[in-house]
Amino acid sequence: MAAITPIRMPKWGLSMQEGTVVGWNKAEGAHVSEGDELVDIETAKITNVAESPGAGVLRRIVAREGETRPVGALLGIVADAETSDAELDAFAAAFAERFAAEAQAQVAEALALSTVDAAGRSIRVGRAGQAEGTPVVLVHGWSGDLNSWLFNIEALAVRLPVIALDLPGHGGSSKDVRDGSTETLAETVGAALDALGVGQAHLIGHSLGAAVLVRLAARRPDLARTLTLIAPAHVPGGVVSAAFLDGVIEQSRARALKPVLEQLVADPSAVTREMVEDMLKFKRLDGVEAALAATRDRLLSAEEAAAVQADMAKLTDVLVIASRDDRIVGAPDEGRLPPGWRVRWIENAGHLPHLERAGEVNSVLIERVCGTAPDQPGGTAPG
Amino acid sequence: MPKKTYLQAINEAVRSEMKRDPRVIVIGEDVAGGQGGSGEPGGVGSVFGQMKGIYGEFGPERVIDTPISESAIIGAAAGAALTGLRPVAELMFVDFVGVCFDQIYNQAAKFRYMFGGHATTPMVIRTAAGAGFRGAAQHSQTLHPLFTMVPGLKVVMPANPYDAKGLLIEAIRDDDPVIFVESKFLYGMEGEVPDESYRVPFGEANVLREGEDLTIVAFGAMVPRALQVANALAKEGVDCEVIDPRTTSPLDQQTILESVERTGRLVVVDESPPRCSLAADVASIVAEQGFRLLRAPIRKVTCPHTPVPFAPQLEDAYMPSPARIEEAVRATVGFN
Repeated sequence: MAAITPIRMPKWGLSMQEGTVVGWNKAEGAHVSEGDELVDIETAKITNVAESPGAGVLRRIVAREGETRPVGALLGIVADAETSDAELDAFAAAFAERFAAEAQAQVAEALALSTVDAAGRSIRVGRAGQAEGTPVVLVHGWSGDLNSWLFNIEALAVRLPVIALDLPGHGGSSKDVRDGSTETLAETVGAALDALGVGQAHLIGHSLGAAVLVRLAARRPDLARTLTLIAPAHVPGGVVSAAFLDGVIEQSRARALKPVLEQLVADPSAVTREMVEDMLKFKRLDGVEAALAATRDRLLSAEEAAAVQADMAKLTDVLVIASRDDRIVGAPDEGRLPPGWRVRWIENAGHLPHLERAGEVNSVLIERVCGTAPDQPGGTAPG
Repeated sequence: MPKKTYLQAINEAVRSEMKRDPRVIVIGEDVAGGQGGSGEPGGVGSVFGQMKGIYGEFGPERVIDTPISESAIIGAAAGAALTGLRPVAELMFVDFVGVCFDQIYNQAAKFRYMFGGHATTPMVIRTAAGAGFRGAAQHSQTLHPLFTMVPGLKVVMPANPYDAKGLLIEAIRDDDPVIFVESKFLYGMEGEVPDESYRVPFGEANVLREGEDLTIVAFGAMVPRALQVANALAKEGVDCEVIDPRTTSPLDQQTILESVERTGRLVVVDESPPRCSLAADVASIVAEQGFRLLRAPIRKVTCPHTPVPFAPQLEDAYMPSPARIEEAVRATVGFN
């Protein structure tokens, strides 16, 4: 049988479930080369072009303009001109059968969302990955949510169970943050882990989430198998940017919010339209404005910084992943870190190294939680 | 995020606000059962099903099915609002506004001003507008310009399901009379809509597409058409910015002017007859405040100055089509 190449609905990012064909750039019967821009696909987040995976003739367009298909589904068929229509029919039928089986298997791999009751608050939890092993717990930063780990979850989930949760006031969790302190947030995270039956975990936190995990680990030393802090708030040497926190809260227009969010990254083009829109949509939810204001006020207070740093001093064997160009929490001063702490510097990254340098950060995280370097460094990089 | 239709988003907004605030009531023709229905849960609920199930959930105390008397519906709602309730009144088709317009423009819109700021009128008038449904000249109009010119009214034109829910919640929580114009054409439109309650603020435009060559401002059902044209022309290298102002009063002039400052070209698309339309209004604002920014004459894409025709071919030709929008964009970009 001659070579037949399926054109499938691509998967752009962890949350993409389906896409809509905006238009084909080639007609049926046209010659195509590998890498040709073949079909425009629109998702909830992005419109992009899918390239031809092979060379030959575009023999069939299966999904027409305006049609929506799940990730991996057959959009069209590239084959050489000699392949008979009967062969193409047989290929499409076999593909459909195989795809149905694949779709079943994929459900098990996807991030399963649920909510748990933690100290009277509803906390959204995303779970993925292996059933066995010490789980990896991911806690996002201020104004983020569990989707902040978009480029990290898959790499970790092939090795260990992964639990990503939304802090109170964030994502799909209750918007009540009470006093907004890291201590209160840590209590809630602890209660959520209790409700999930997690007795010990690899704790990984970003920014505010890192400070929250410091408070939690200091109170419950048995809980942390390892503790890894990415761009942590209140690390000695760093200062939390009031301008950034105020900007996120105050700017309600996409054009004004974008430059604020660009402070998060080294490469401003990493801040997409979709990121800005997602932030606006989050800010519009009932209760979020008050939650962000309360957590900001605490983040900016000197007492809060002192309390976090006092707890940091109680902890040893902590890995900090940081960037020298972090404009949100600043860079840690290695000379002032508690004994047993070390810093892994990430170049060309701002406050979101796990997003901007996902491959490199994933390698560091895997080595940290598995104790060995990953076989294939890299992992999933954005873009 | 769950996908819902524009219709479901409207229903969800009213339902969630009724749960949150016992002062919110619904009043209108057929809002209980609809179309001769029993009014039981699952009854039709409004002529297009916008209020489906709401009577069953909240009962006759808070869902008032009225006789065919628009002046009674709007008058009762305005009075209820003055006493502290937060009515969501339904005007089945915007075309019927004539019989109750006094209650709107000369009563509700004036209360705050006439009572020296001591009275508020937190009422919403939801109404279905627009052509394309073979409804003939008396059930197909778009009268948002009529409301927009009245000081004291806020006028909202959601163009997608997410905005429909967020703008309606904002309207219900607003202390002034709000005209909420639903596009019949968009009721079936699907999009991501959070289950939680959220507010989309008035007077803040939605920039659906950023572009450098030309600004398209479109309202309501014209927004998806403008976006379709912009996406198609992008393949030829014509880079259009598409702006949906979301509300016509207040109007986000700043976003429009800042956009024209970059593009120098403006096309306004409004499903209305041309005279005194929103297209005319936006064009005049930009001509007055941004004359030096313009590199080409402003083009308006509107309906003709006629009643909405009943003949299907004529009705289709009456509405601004993607082809007419595209022609206007090409002419404006090609001007020299």
